[in-house]
Amino acid sequence: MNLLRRFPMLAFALSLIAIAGFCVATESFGLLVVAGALAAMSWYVTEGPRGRTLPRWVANILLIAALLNATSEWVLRGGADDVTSIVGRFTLWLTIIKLYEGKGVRDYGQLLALTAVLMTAGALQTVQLSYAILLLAYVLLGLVVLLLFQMHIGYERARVLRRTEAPESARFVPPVLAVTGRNPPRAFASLGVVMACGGLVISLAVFVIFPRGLLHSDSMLSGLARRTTGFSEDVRLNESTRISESRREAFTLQMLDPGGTPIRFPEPLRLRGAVLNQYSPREGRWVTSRSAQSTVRYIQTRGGDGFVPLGSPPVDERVNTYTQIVTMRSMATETIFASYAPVSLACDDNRVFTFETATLGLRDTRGNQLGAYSRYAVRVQPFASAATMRALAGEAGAQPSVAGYHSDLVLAEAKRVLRDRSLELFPPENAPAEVKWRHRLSIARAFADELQSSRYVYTTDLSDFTLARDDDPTVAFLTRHRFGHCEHFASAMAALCRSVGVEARLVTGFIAMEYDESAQHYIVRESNAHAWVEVRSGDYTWATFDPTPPDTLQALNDSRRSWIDHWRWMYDRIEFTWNNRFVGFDSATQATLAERVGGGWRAQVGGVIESIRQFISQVNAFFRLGPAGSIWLGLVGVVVVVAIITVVKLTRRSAQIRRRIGLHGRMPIRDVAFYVDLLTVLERARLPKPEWQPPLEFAAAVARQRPEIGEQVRDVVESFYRVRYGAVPLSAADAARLRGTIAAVAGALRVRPPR
Amino acid sequence: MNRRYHVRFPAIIYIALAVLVGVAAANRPNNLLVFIFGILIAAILTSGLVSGVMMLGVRVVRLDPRHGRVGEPLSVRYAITNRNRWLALFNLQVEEMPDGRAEKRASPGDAWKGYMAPASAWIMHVGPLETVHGEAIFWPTRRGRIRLGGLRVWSSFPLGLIRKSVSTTQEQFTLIYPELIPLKLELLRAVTPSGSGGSRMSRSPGQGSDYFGMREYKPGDSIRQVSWRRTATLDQPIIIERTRPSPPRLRVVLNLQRPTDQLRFDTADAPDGRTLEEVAISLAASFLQMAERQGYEVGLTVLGLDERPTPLRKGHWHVQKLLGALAALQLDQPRRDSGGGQMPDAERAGLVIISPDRADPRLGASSGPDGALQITARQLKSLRADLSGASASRLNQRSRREQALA
Repeated sequence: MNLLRRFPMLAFALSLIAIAGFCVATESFGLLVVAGALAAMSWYVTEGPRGRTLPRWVANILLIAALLNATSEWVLRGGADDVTSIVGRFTLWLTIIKLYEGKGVRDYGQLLALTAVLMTAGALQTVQLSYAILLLAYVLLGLVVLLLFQMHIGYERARVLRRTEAPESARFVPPVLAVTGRNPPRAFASLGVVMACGGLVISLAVFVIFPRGLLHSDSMLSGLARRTTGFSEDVRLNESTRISESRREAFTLQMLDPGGTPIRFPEPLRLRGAVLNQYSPREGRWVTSRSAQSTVRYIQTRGGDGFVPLGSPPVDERVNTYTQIVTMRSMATETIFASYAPVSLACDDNRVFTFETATLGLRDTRGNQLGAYSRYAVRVQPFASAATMRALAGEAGAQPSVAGYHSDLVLAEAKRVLRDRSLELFPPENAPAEVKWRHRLSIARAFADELQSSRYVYTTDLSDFTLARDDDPTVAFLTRHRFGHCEHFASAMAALCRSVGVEARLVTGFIAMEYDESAQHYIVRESNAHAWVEVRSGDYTWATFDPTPPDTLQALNDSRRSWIDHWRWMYDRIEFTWNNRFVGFDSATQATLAERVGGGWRAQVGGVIESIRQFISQVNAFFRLGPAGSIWLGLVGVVVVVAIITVVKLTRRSAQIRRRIGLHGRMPIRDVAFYVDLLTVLERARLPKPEWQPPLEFAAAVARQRPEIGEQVRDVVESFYRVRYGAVPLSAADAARLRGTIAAVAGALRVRPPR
Repeated sequence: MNRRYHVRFPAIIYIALAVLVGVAAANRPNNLLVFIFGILIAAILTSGLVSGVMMLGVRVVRLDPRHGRVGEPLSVRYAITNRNRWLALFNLQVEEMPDGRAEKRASPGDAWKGYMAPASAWIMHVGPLETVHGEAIFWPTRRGRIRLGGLRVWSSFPLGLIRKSVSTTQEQFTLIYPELIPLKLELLRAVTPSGSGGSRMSRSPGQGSDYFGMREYKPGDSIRQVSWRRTATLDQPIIIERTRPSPPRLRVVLNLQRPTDQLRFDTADAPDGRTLEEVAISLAASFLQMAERQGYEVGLTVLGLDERPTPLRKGHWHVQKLLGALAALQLDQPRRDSGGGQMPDAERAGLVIISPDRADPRLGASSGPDGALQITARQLKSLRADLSGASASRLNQRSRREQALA
């Protein structure tokens, strides 16, 4: 009966999970607070000390009000995408109304159906991990509630039937008692576990084989998953929402010195992702523009085979080469993040990457698919020589790839900065190239210092960063507002450099500032996305400049730290796996999985067969069995298999006999096996022996039902008594006689005799 | 043993919803919907598999049903055995089948459905290799011999989508005793000859006051029983034995000589003659029960049918035999009019003659100086006792005690 008593509370918990799930799916946390509080209160109101339920007429009025609200919402908004959220909210209010009503069997059924609709509506809204966790909890609890609901229905049905069938004049109607065996909660739990496991396995199988891409583009699946990345490949200064403050771990990075020892750099590491060299003042947007001379090399990694050189010819890695090991966490992207300058690449998977020589950018070639690799390593040379850079970049590296910045305001600002620092705009005409490059670098340094000064303020709050139509955000930053985030600073520096003819380009990526001493690696979070500038410092080389005030950046990073960061990595890891394996599971992944399973299965079976063949050959050679040795071994194998089967059958039979008779001690089982055979014959003839009934009494009952076999059954039972309790050994003649008797009984009952 | 599967309406709704979700999953790039579709498919597959395996191992046997009584609950018990080694059974319903193969062979008149409304036993759980007993409570509406034929055990566990049933045949018979009507106690006193103390002496010694005889003293006899005068005469202790008071006696005569179609009745009393006869039988049963409770020796004579008169006996089981005889009366048999020839005489017992519609003056003429009490079924209202207050509680207590004894 305890099981049935738990049903109302579990149904209530299920309703709460459904309400919470829908609110999480629609990210309506205000609705969660209101609806959740109302739903939670319903238990006390209806089941509390003075339990009261909503009268039917009040519930109907509330239902009509909810319907009108939903209808008006739909009319006002009208979009097809909003229908599911409107229907979901309407269902949510219905669920809350139902929680306050009195609950019979039908009401509980309606409540469960409403919760199912709620969860389905939530699934149509989102694919977040948080909702998925609630969905899984709902499914598991829902299974238990559904099973209990069936028993609740049975009990109520029996109770109502007993009441209604009793005449009105009946003085006393016996109550319905729950008839149970031993330990029903345990049996129920076992059944629930079995059904849950079986259900999950089948549902996963359906999930894997369900055809994707039939009625929609597969890229939409990947797009859903790719939204979770924190990195972007362009810069849009007009959009203020691009800076992420999420503390979610993107990846971890371990830096090894040339000796292979993990080290921490004194300066933050800047990990290059995208190189942007073209600016649109009207849009305020930086993008990548590839020059005609830029080439792309294809790099093939074979997991575990070591580093693949990026340069042509390969760069000498024995000197001044650091190794950067990246382990992906929650981020999923096809971009390789490496500090300047990458010279070789290794990956734990067989993949093909593209290496763009002009920008030294590395990308996975599986364009729209999530970057499913979990770990890669890049060897870098922070102070690469010109020869190294020539090997990496080729002729494309020497080509000027940027245009100037045509803005008088910017030029005026640049000149002012140089004037304040007593720097000449142009180097001496006859100066050697080296001097000219240094001059350009000093100009770039001056611009960086100016932006890092107190005249400019770093902030992520751009609510006051107003722009008129066709305003250039970079110019506005430099001349009017003088506050912004790293993209504004980098864009401003690049603009200043270009306005005076210094080649500069914007680079986006991540900045690694947080170092975990215990794990000896950097932790890079989504909020560490950053932008800086590269200025050409030679024919093939570029120097890195970060105009963002470093103290401000560090202070901002420190301020965002919290105690949750220590535990976030667990959730981030799970969310990454969720997005990677589940959300982004598409037809290509299905094909890959099928290929792996099929190929792997065939390879394994082939390996096993080959092993057996080799074993047979070895045995044959050892015992010198000759050409017919395989046949002999085959026969031996058959005999062994038959022996195993026989042993198993005998063991099972003896266990069955012991269980049926309650045999303990040293009595030979074969002496009493005939009695079990008799019981088996009678069971086959639909005459089972109840456990509580003694054998002789059972024999008498059988004689009453089937007089034609009564005597024979009694004879066998009496023989059993003699052997079992009288310690009279069973002779061979008696055994044969009893076998014959049992066969005769089987024949009379027209059932299969025991073997 | 027949097994059947019935697809219920919720299953059709469920499958339709699953198809809808499947179409939505195919139409939208949402793997959660695919997962939900998988859950729905898994649920129905798992449910079908589990329920099929569950019902494979169920065995049900009806235990010997006890007799019932009109207006009282009849408990029919079942032994449900689970032969599965690993899987338990949940939420079973056991019910009597209205039409079984056995019933077609036998006469249709005694099928149980004509005597009581359907009822079922609910079993919440049967563990692996366990046997439990469940009971169904029936409310018989008329007396007679009923036949219980086929049994069916069904369940829609675990998800309520498909109902699986297993039916078997097990023919058994039981009796439904007539309804017991609470009667006025004064009726009994009116027919008891010479009061409740009886007017005859028993043939064995006891603790009464009348002289029975003398015998020699035996160790253990009370000294108060010693006859001193005789002891002085014979010079050995002599004991006087006293009589044992005999209980009062009552014979109930049920007069069914007149055929049913010749009975006179008013629709205000009863809708038809058969009902009057049933009321008469109930009155006879009620008298017997009431008299036995008062310590009477009772006997029954049925006139008009082939029933032998029973001797006058005392005790609960004797009354149960009489009630069983009344329950087994077949009113469809042809009636014999024997006048008063079957009436016992010289019994020194009170006589109650119960007729369905009108008293027969031929009966009871030789019943002795106190005469017989002639009552008819049409007088039921005036004979019924008032059950308000203490008398009702006493009657209720007795009824429960009788149920416990049964």
